[in-house]
Amino acid sequence: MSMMRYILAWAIVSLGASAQAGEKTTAVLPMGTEIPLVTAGPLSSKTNFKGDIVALKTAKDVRVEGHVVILSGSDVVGQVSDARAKGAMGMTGKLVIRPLFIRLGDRTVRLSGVAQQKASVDSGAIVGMVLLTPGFTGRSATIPQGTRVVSYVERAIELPCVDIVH
Amino acid sequence: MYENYFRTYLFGDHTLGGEVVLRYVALLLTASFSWASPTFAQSSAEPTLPASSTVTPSVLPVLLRQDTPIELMATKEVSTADVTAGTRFKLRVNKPVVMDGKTVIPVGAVAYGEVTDAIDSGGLGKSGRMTAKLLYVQTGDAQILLSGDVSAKGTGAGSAGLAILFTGWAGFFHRGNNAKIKAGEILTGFIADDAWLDVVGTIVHRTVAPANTSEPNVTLVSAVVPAQ
Repeated sequence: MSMMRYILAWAIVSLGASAQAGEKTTAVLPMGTEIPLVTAGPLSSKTNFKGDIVALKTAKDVRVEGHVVILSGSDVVGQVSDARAKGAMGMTGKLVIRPLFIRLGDRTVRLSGVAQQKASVDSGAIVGMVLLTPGFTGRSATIPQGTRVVSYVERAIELPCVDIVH
Repeated sequence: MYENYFRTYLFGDHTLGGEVVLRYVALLLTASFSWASPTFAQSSAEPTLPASSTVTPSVLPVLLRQDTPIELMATKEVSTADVTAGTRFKLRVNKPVVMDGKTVIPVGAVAYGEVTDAIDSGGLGKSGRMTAKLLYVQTGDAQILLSGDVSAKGTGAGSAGLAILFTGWAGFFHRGNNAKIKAGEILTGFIADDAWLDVVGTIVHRTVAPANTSEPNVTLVSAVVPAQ
């Protein structure tokens, strides 16, 4: 009887240990987790068009239960979802980008979010300039390098913890 | 005399007659058995055929994971001037999707999208709007569902107020621009569900997951965890 108890206790302990080891190696990144990003290069409504793929980077480490699953500076793929070049009669440029995904090995973390920039000119200035110089054009929208973009995890995904040395 | 002659003719030497008879009988039985039941003779050779055919295409299926990104390109302009909700349009795969060193979706593979909402442009500079969703990509004889959508708004219409300022009453008839997905525009989609594919050269078939495969992530990826 005591032998049976010993075997049962050993099995429970070993199962617990393996489960603990499993929790340490991977972690589930929940849906809706906020991931701060920055643009990797300058963007402008003069040079970028709708559909262009743009490079972004993670601004800081992403942690789940204290473990890092995505390192700061990881490559993020985004896309220009709307772009309008400046035009005549003071029409300003507009640029909208949205983060799409982070590729980590064979895993893909899908992201949602948006960042937009619209060049602004005073309405009084527009009317004045249009009356004086009918060829007056608006300004291009620019998103400088390092602009912060907030993104959110669109679907939960299990990722390996990168801060554990095996 | 004749009796002895026939006996000698048929059975040879009297002393070996019994043994020879047995040999003849055995020979006749063997010949008649093989002639009367050719199917039995073939059936012994049949099992070797499927064995050889199963060995040749020993290809492991490839898992195309859910949410794998896929870059597509519009091959023809889709405009609110000539489409309505429900119109399907063609796309082209712009970059190959490679899994485990095998090209599972080559460049040029055809994908399809569908317009879900389309509002035509109108007077007073009202621009058109359009939304569309991605449906599936055809690779080999496999259709792989896609997720992802795209929206477009007519641009460059300018303000109706300025149009009236410059053209007078004619500005009221100033129409906005149609919303367009321009030819050559890049769209990004994602694989909607896990798909196991047999890839032999350029031939791709959909298959079932191997029985001995343990894919813990397959269920976890689609699990919905409450936001923190």
